[in-house]
Amino acid sequence: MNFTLQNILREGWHSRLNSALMLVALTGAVTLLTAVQLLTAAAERETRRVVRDMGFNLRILPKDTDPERFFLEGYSENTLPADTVTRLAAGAGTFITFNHLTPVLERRIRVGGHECLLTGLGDTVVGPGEKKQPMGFRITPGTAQVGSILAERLGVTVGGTVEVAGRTLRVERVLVEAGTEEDVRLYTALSDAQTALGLPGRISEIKAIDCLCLTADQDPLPKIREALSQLLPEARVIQMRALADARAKQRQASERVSAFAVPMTLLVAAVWILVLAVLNVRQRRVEIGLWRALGTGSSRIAALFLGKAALLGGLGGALGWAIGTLVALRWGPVLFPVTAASLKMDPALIGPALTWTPLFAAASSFLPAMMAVSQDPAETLRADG
Amino acid sequence: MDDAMNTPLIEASGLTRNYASKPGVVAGVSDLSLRVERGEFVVIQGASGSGKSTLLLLLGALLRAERGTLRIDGVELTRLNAIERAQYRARSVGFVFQLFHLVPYLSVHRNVLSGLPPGVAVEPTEADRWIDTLGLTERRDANPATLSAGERQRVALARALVKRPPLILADEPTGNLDPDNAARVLEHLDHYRRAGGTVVLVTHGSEANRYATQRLRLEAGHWAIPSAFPSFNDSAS
Repeated sequence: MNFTLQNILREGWHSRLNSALMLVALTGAVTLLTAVQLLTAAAERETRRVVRDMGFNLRILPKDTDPERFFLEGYSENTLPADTVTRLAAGAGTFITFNHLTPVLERRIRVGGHECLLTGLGDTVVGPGEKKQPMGFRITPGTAQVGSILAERLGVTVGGTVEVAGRTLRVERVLVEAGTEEDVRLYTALSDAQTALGLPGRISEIKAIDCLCLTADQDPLPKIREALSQLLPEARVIQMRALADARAKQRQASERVSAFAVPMTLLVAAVWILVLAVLNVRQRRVEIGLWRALGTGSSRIAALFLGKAALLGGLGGALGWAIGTLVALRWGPVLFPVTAASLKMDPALIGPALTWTPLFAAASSFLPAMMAVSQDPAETLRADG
Repeated sequence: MDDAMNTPLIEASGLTRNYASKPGVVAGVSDLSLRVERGEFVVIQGASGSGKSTLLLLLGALLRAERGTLRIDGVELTRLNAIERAQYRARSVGFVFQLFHLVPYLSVHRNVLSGLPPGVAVEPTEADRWIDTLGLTERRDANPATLSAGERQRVALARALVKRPPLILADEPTGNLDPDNAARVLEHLDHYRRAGGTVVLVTHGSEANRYATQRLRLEAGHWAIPSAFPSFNDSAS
């Protein structure tokens, strides 16, 4: 072991309280950063899930849809080719503005003597590299999901059947009461709806989510319409403004929290370490003067301080990562129950913890170390005179 | 005998260094000249604030002179940069301080070893030899905090002597010691001088006078008796 390392270790042990405080500061900082990183990621996942559960907020309709009829009926009477979804998905920059593209065919029909809304849902298309998660329900062909009032009127339960335009569909699920037109809706696979309605290869709209996540005051609609006019000139888009605005506000709030928490944690840790480093230098002024009197070079003296900080940084980084992960895994599921299962240890954080923490600690100690080597040994060593 | 051995170890002329010790108070040394031959034991006396320690720190290249020349062992200190001054201190000077200034986290043995400049090869037993010579054998692995004042000063002395420097600079080395320990330390310094070393010692007191080959007195940064090379040798025992 060389001179510097030996002396760092001996001094570290001798100044146990200072070393412990510095280690606690570094461990605390990395613990906070790791936990904040994992928990903000969890919070963002939770937010995404919650806002996703708010449902689609964009409806892409055939351009010739009569808005009056659309709002009175609740669906477009016009149709688009079903491959419009794949064309839209293949467009340049589509997923900057739109996501979760879901082809839908919707009509008012009579089932078992009762009027209802038949909604055929196709497979959802998501952006490249994203996990495919259906926004609504994934409907297996040959099955149906029935709104609560409709199910009651038809007298069907799960496992029963409904007749739709001469086709028998097994009831896979009866939906809970929503208090909206969902209660008189009959969901089927898109192919079943197309067959039942005699509209093979057609859809009445594409439901989607707006990815821009701009709040109402940021006026997102012109941007969305501009994007769609480039990608799909034969369509028009309607934004469900209240939903989109709530979603955007929720996501922006979540991002603001993340953007605040991480740098704030870093700042507090930096100040803490800086104060401890300065105190350490002040305590060791005489020793520094002595090393200089003995002819020890400035670089070696600085190495005593920076080396100590870096060593403690490495140790604090490893401990902080472990404790931060434990904290996040212990309390994360309580804070974010919906996405609790997604909370996992992130080995990708150990690398930065082990490299950045020593560098950060050394950088925080740099100023005091420079003070140490530049201070006048005469001031600290002289008795008087 | 080579020429270097015939030249004085220390030659200073017009040496000036001032600093503000307190707001409005300028202390230091001004326009000092000094000549010290090899093998001398120079005792510099003076009251607090007279400039004794400042002179000592100038001789040890821990302070830089504002004016004047200072040649020690053939090296003009005023022309050295920070690295060269550190090398000079490591090679040529041993310090002994009133407050001992031992490294608190090193044992006696390691404190003595810390006096060796980096990369200087000495016999591994050299530190132990000085520990034995100074009566610290039983305390070899002790922490400085457990030592008496006399023991601490002897450790500091061993640290200064272990590299066998041509010059020992002692700043009130007996100031915190009882008379017995003070005498012991001075005996060791005198022994070192008689072995060919040079000692410059600053002090308030008079206990070192009997070892002095040259005695000087500083008052407010000037020699008390203006002279190019003032000497009180006639009063040295």
